[in-house]
Amino acid sequence: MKPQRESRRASSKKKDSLKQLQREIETNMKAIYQKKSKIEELAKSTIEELIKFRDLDRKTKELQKTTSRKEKEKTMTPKKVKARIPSNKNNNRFELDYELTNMKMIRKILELSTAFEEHQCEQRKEKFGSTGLETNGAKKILIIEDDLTTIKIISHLLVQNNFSVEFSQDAEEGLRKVFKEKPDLILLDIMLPGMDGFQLLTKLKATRETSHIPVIILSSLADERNVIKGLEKGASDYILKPFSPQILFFKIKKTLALNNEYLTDYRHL
Amino acid sequence: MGGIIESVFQVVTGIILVYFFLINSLYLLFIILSIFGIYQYKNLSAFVNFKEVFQMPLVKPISIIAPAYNEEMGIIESVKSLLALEYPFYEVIVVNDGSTDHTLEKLKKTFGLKKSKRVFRKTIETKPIKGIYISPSDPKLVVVDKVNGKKADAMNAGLNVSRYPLFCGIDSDSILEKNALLKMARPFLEDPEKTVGAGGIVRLSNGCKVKFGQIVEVGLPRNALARFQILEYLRAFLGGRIGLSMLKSILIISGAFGLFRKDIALQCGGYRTATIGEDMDLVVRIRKYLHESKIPFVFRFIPDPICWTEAPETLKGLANQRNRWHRGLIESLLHSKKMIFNPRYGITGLFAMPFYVIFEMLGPLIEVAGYVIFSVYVLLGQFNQTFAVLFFLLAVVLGILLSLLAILLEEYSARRYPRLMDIIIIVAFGLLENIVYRQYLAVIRAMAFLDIAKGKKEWGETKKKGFSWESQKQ
Amino acid sequence: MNISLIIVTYSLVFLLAFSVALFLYLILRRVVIQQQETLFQEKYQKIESEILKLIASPQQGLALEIAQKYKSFPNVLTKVLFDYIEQIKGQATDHLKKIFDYALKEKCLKDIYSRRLIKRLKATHLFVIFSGPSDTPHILKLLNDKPVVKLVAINALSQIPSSRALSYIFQAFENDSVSNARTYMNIMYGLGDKIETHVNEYLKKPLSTEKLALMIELAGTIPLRSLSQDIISFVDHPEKEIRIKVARALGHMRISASLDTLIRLSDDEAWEVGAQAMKSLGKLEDVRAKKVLSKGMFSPFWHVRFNAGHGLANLGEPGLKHLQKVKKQKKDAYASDMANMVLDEVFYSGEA
Repeated sequence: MKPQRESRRASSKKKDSLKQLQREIETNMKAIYQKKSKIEELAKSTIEELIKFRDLDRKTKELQKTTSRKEKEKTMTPKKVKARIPSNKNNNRFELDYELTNMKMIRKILELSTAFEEHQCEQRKEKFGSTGLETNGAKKILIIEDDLTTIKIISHLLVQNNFSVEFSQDAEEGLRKVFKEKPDLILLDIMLPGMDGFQLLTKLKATRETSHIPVIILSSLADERNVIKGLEKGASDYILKPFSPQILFFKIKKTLALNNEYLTDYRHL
Repeated sequence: MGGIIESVFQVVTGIILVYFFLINSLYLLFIILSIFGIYQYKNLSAFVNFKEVFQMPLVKPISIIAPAYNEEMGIIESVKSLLALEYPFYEVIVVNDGSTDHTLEKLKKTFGLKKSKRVFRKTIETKPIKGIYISPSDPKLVVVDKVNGKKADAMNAGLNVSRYPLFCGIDSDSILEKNALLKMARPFLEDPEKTVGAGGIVRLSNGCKVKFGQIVEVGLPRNALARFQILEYLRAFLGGRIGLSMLKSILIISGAFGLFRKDIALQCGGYRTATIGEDMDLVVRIRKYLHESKIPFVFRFIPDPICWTEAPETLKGLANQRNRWHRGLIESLLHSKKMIFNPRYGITGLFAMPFYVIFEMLGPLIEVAGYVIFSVYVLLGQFNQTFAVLFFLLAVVLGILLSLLAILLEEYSARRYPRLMDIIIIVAFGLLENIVYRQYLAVIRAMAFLDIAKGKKEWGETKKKGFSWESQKQ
Repeated sequence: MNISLIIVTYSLVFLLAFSVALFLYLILRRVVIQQQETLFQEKYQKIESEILKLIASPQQGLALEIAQKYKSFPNVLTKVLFDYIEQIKGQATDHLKKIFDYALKEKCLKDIYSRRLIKRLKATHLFVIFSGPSDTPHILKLLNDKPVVKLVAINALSQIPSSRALSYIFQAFENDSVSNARTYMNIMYGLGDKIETHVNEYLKKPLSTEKLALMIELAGTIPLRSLSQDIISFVDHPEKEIRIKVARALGHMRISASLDTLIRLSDDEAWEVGAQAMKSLGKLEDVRAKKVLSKGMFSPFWHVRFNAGHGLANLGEPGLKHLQKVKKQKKDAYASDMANMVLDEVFYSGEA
């Protein structure tokens, strides 16, 4: 009898802290949602805990079976109809414990990740004098295109809207710049000197450091097959030339917002 | 006796004079026509958006056929530049004509070639094909490996394997500008029924900076021979070809870059392997066939510098090249000799063929004869030396005049040489040309007749330099 | 001898003087043009930066401002406008057109009515790019011009969405020669579904073979699916060209009801029709066509085999399995080779 009373009080406490944790996690979930590595870590840790608890669980289940049998024997005869399996309560405790520990784990990871980001910011500040994230979280766009006029149009448009723009006129230089500058979005042309745009895209999506950068293809190749090929290779969008600068701009913003870790409110822009 | 010899000499001198007068007048006429031609083209294409081809529903795809023989030095660069051209649909067929160096290995390695089980219709007989390769990373590329059979045979093999209605014959060391296909294919779009072939201006890439298969900076070559050749090409293309195309008399579309309709070429039996000037031969035979079938046709010439090629910088290379060209000229003309002065063949028979035979083919012979007679006269002291010297100067000055006009055309049309010094150097070389270079070439070309009589069939070696990998310097 | 000597000397002196003059002209021209070029570039860059600002954030009155400022530099302004309007479309082009209207239109209109053909043509090209619906009367006048100019004007008409313009285009197509027919096709294709009623009307007219063929092809490429029945009605046309186009158009339209028609066409006496029918059957991706396609693999004509092979590949699994069967059979080496090639290509295109 005693352990049950204890468990009731303890479980309600745990339930509250669980709810609190859940709320905390939801607000920060989006922040780590896109971080693939973090999710992997999370998965790994939860699995480890699951395994730990599975063993514990087995033992407790055995315990439960013996206790429930005893209880069943006790309560069997008079109240058959409303027979709620008393093992629920016991299970609850363990489930709660297990869930609680998981949530604690996730919270720890969250803390770690935000601390990590802050640390990176500190480092960047030391090195470059800025975190690169000021002025409304200015995003860096890399344009890989060989036609100068197009580059001028797009960069003017973007710079006027507080984006920082880099450009490159051939594929190899573009690739180098991606690794050096780590842009937030890449505008890619297909017909480039040196390497084909599709090949560059494949390379970008295959490398871990760059696969998360969204790529919008901007090309004169209007044939369906090319569009499908580009989208299949991982481009976020395929825009045909001649293009409407306003539409391109909004598509860039939307793609960035979808991929954003630091949510910027784009509705007012 | 002496009197007869003297009068014979006088008659011969007279003929030479008349010939000389005619040829220069014709060239002058061509240059004047060229001025009109360039003016027309510039204005007509001023506000034309070549890229609208990308939005058209029915675009004629092009098969680029690039025969390669022992080109390991520059083949990768050139194939990469071919794969980066602006055109909605095309394929690049590289025909490895039994190279003895590492051309094929280099291609295999760079593009990850895999054997393809491509099946094609053998419309023209060629030397056996050892294998066809495709590249998974570059679907536009097809490499055909075959037993050596010279350029015409390689082109025919390419024709067999190609799948598209237009084909483009190219030298494997030609550099094409990015919009070359867009500009060359335009006549086929504007007049698809009549346009049968198109050619463009070929310029020399010696001395130009090349990056990623594109000409980044135009400059004069340092080699003296190359400098002579620059002026020659200017005269020939800007002055000669445009003028001829205005007169609807194009007989040569350079093998360095020419776009043709595949169906017509196949109907004429493709390229003729027995000749060494296969580019001219094809055009002449196409004209013959179309005249005979009474099908209206037109060959277009694009006065835009869109193809750059490497000129030989050694005397031996130059001699081989010119000898080969002249032998090709003679063979092609003689093969279709029934067209000459034959009204059945329209303007080709009545003007183009006779012009080429009398002035281009026999030109060197008459020129050499002129020099011989002149030197005989000088030795015999029998002739009014003042007159002879004056005459010679006249020839030189006329030549310079033509060169200057050609340079003027270049300045008017494309103006690719950025430095004023370049122009002055070219003019200086135009003057120097007449001292030894011209005579040397005339002799080489005249010797081609001897070689034909001997039955010479070889290609002759030309050493290729390959392009500077500017990107590697970075 | 003396006279000829004098003639030669005089001509020599004349030519020499002429050459020297030419040389000096060359150098002078170069110097002058280089200077002009630098000025041109400077102006170009100035105008360019203002136009870029305009495209980026279009404000009221900015376009007019630019036009007023640079009205006296028509050449540079034209070049900048042309370079930029080529690259963009949509609202931003309206601003560029406004600048053109204000600063350059007058001269352009004058040139359109100039006597010299080349000047007219050049101006027409320019005019067409920057024209709007208010310019219809000018364009209509141009239609009475020489065919070269006429075609460009018709291109401009296609940007004006009025039924009168459309009927005009079709009328012009009917009356014009066949050699220009392709240009009309490109223009009409750009109009899309709007031309459906017109195409319907013209299919019923007694056009020449080539024009009829083009009409059918047009219906196919857009595609105008509602006209499929009309297209099918041409299946028995005596001209092989027409039947080829019917097969092709049905392939583009991808209507499963046309399966029987295509099967009929695949058996046509002319192999070109059969080849085209095979290609179209492949596009339908209908398993019922498998039998016909497999028969096509054994045709004596390369193109029929080629299209049949690719058609089978399009059918997915059942088609690929059948191709493997054809590859293994020994009776017809050509069929087996073709099956081999198609399978190989499918494999590689999946990889690429």
